[in-house]
Amino acid sequence: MKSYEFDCGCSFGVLDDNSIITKLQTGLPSIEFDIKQSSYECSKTWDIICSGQTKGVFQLESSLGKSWAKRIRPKNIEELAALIALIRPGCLKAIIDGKSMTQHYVDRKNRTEEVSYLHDCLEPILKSTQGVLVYQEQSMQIAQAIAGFDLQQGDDLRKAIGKKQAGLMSSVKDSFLEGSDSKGIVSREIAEEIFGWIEKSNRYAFNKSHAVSYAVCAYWSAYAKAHFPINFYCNYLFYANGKQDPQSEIRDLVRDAKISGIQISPPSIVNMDSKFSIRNKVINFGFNDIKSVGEKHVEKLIQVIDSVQSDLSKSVADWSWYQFLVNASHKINKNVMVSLVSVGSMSHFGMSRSSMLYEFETWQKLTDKEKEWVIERQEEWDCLTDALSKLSPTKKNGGGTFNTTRNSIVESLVLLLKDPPYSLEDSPGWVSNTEKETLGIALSYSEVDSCDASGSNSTCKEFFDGKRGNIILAVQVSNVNEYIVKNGRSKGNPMGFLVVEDNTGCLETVTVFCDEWKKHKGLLYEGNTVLLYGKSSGEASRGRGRYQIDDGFIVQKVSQI
Amino acid sequence: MNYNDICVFDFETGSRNPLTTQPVQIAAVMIHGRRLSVQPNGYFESLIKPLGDEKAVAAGLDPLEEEALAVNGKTRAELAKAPHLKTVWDRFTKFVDRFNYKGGNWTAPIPAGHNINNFDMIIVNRLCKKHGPMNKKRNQQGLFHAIHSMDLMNNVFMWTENNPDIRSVSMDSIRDWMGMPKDNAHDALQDVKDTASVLIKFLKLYRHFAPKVKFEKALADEKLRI
Repeated sequence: MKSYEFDCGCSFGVLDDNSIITKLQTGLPSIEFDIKQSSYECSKTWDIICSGQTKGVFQLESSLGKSWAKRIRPKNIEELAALIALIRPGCLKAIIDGKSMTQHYVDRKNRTEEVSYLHDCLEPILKSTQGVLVYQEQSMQIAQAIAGFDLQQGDDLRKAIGKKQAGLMSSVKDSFLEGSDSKGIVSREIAEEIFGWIEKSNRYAFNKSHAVSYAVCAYWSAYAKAHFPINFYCNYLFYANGKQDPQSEIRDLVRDAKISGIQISPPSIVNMDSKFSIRNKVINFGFNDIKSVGEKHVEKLIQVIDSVQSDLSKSVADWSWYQFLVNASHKINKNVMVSLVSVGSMSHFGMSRSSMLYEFETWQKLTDKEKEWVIERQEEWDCLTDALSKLSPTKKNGGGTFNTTRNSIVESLVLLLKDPPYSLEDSPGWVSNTEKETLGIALSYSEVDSCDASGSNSTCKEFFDGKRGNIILAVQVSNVNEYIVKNGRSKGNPMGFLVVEDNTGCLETVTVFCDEWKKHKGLLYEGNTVLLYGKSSGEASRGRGRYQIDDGFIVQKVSQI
Repeated sequence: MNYNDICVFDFETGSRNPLTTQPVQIAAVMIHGRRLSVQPNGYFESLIKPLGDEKAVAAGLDPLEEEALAVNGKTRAELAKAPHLKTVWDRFTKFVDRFNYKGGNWTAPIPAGHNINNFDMIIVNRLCKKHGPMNKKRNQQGLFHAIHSMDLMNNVFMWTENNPDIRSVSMDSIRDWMGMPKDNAHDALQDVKDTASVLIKFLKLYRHFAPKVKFEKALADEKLRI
């Protein structure tokens, strides 16, 4: 057992490191701990939930869950269960006095709306949910208190609500009113009003036992995220392929992890992981997560590398790019090879990705016999240019080409190796685009790294972590939603909601109010890189602020580096 | 919204007939379609080794003309040391593909240049037919965008056709008009840089005025139509 202690006061033992390693060998890193030893009072866990950092948290990972979690700010399982029940479509669509039931709950919890009850006898039943009828069980308790319902009658009422059975509802109503008359706690008029209220709740009321069990699962998933974020993200990434849109799931998880300060790296042929794994507190992509690389390709790749490792008697980490190119590259599927180089899985060779791709394309131009000729003599040279220079003369002249046509083609290849027609440096823009295409998300750079971001004074992560004042962000716009304002002074006018990102993470809460939207809409399109001048419209705590544009953009200050 | 990059390119050639000429140099500059700035690593330039005169004639191509070499300043000796056309063309297509964000004909960079419709694109079509890539559905080049192209010469002509002071839309006349130096003129790379500068100026002009000029229902009135 190994003991872990956290700054939130949580401390518990987990199975020792050896068991973690065992899990790694099975491909899935995880930490096992005894839930019974822990309580539901971890401040770190509640902070995660209240800040809306709930990507991956059970039932709360949608944008709806994130947004209402920030507004409701649950601090115990009871409130968390209420949150889960209140963000169901029924509650959000059940409008009473011009507001949804969810909004009533929030306003009452934040004391901007008075908590009132139709009768004092309802207070003990509805107090925990701010006087809002959230659960089916509350209806049963009300019926018990007012109409003296027994358990069977209570269950009939639940069925009538839950299954929306009109016939049963009508007979239950008669029993409710009769019981209420005989108990005499409330007048007939109030009893009818209360029943009407219960009846309406069938549109949204949720089973409390269900909500609480969901809340417990949500708490523990948030707990794991708070205490073991690296393992948490790695596991979620591992299972992302099971989601409807795996690439979008991976993108969201990586963005969320980045803003939480977790490092995520592209796959590497040194590690040879087929799926997501953790090494030195860094989450590594696996080969199977690269577009166009399947399980069979990975098997083949491992076979090729193992065989060349034994031929060369050294580990792949000690090979040079030239050795990899001439010994292994032609045995690997061409598209797989291009993808592997493009995502940076061979960066340890110390050459730019563009150079490696360029040399691989050159190597591909040789005939099998010419490749064999180079492989046999590979130790005589250190790089492809030297090898091809010696290969280019015809056999008659001491080289390895068969005729003058091949001689002149190889000569041309050498000329273009010595003097490439375009720059083979890896530009951040190209790397970011290539990673997006092959991994679904840019890991090494963001598009912003290609621009002159010197006009900015903050990063997304700094803002997210609570930096306030006049903020200038250099970001790429990754998502745009236009929304027509329904009420107030700007009714009928469009405004914008953006998701923006830089290399430190992603902000999902950028709001552009109508006047600014009208002025700057032309610049706020997906993929564009802009400087955003703005300030927080929320409080200065982690993840709570919404970003509001007040000075518009000075797009002239964003330019290609 | 234009998401395609713009590839300003130019061939220097050994003769004037685009159907039979041999390219001796190719250069290109890739412009970011939205930012209108040069893409990182967006320059391409290479000399091309022409065929010997006899081989060229046998292949139905023009031998190098001294007059053409005098214009572009290339010598037979330096061209003899250059890589072959096919090898250079392979590299050029790889270069263009790097900026084709989804790999299809509709996401490929838009070809641009000076007088490309009547000259350079004919060579591109010829080379694509011989060395690829081809757009088989349209039986045309498959390297650049399937339909769009930007010919600076046409743009300049439309802007100046009523201007008596502008008598020619050649690249040299445009350089004189806009005050650009003519050092290295007719070097393919210098030509594409100059062409790209002028093209960007025109595109920025269009972007500036387009939202202000309303074409909605502009010809709804029958009297305004021919």
